Amino acid sequence: MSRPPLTDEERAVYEWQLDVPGHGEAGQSVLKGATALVSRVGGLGSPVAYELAAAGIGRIVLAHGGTLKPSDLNRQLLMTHEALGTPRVHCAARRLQELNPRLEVVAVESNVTDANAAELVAMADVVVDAAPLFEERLALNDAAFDKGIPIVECAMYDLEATITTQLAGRTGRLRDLVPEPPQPWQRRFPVFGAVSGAVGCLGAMEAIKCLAGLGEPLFNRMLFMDLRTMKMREMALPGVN
Amino acid sequence: MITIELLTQLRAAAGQDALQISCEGGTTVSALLSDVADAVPSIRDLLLDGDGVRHGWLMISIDDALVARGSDPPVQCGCTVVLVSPVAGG
Repeated sequence: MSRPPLTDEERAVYEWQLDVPGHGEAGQSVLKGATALVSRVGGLGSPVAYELAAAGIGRIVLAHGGTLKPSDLNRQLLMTHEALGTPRVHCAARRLQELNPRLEVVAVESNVTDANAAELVAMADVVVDAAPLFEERLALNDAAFDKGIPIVECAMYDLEATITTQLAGRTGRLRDLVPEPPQPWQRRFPVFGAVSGAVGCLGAMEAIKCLAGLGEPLFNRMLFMDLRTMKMREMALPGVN
Repeated sequence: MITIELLTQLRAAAGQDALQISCEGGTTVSALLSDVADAVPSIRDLLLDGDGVRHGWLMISIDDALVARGSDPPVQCGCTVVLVSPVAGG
């Protein structure tokens, strides 16, 4: 990762987070020189990408196929009513650059597949998995492990959400937890946008931590959040095999 | 007693978020899953395949430590076992 110097404009925009202990101008420079890959910018990926854009990451690669539907609008916060029927990824890119015009966005109008996962991951310094299908998630996670890139695994259902961060050599991989797509999982499931927003913000923070060397990422730990009761629990995961 | 907590789709399919299974001197994960399936038939297919074997993608923790896939460790009385059907984004 390059560490380009900050401009005066950037110092002004990021002054609140420059005061975070352990971050400062050095950490902000790392973010400016970094690229994040966000797989899908739906309910979960939208807040991930938005928070990364707000934090001053230099480049975001968005991978999301398909066009915007009315049923997306309860949770996909980078979308707009006017964009119904148009490709989601371009609407998301536009919204991100409205927030941060310094941000470079690479909009890929395709979901992650076995065929493109390695190429997409090779563009990134950190990956956030926000995809709804386990075929995509496994392909992305395998590629991240092949490249040695940290990957944040975010997920949700109903009023529950889970998050863990994985890295080759430090943690097990998704396939150790979910060796194959679970038979009962369905593309459409119950969820509120506030749930995807909550876990998406945590996912963005994990990505920032991995890039800037802040705090302790959720390596070998999975956080479970039950927003119905506001109870959280942490599950210890097996380490590297 | 062993406390079983059900998360994600298991909770929805069971219509409850927890149950208790009696034990005498402990049990194993595989035996416990059979007991849970008997107690809550609506989640049997989410726990076990047609041969009564635990699904590979079922996540199980004992006192908040994930059980390694393919292992069948003992479960002591008084433990809390959490069962999770994996979820994704969207």
